[in-house]
Amino acid sequence: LIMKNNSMKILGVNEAWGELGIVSHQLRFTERIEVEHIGPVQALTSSLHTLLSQKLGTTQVQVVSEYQLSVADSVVINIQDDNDDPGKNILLSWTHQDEALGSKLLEIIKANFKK
Amino acid sequence: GDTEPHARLPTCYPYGNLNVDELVQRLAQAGLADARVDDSKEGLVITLANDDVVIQINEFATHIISANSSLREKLRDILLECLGSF
Repeated sequence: LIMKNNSMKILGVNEAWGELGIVSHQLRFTERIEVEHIGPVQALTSSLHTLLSQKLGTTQVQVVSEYQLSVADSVVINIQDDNDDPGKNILLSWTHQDEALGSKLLEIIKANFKK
Repeated sequence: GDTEPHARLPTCYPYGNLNVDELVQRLAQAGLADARVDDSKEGLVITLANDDVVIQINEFATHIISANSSLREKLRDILLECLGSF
């Protein structure tokens, strides 16, 4: 809801930025979680996919590639092979707007995978 | 339970330009005195080597990369203090 020139209107957040003449500043977070996982990266991606689908519902979790998942079209998860096997890194990336989902995923992943 | 729908509403909408000098000052006040600021192709990069944190900053966005949840939350709060928000 914004008030301008003595009138009120209801706009989406992105439209409101333009109306008010201010530039939004996006905050993005990437948190690295070191995990111990024996086997190829694809196997970790797959087990992460299974876990998150169970927790959030299958429609929420998409497989983007062998190394990447996305959740609810907003949070991105990258899986990296650490050179020091069996070490791997899960990189969880979300914006401030998705803080609730991002920190929930962080908790789930840490509880199940953190070494 | 695990299947409840997650909240999607953000707590606030940050806006405006980030004053990097102010940010570095506030980091130091918070005990993070080793901030190194470098220019990069995309903007500025602040490195907190002792804490394994990288903060990438440009005109429209700031990206905090870390491996420590409580530190990330602290950095987020410091950043929000340096930006306008509603």
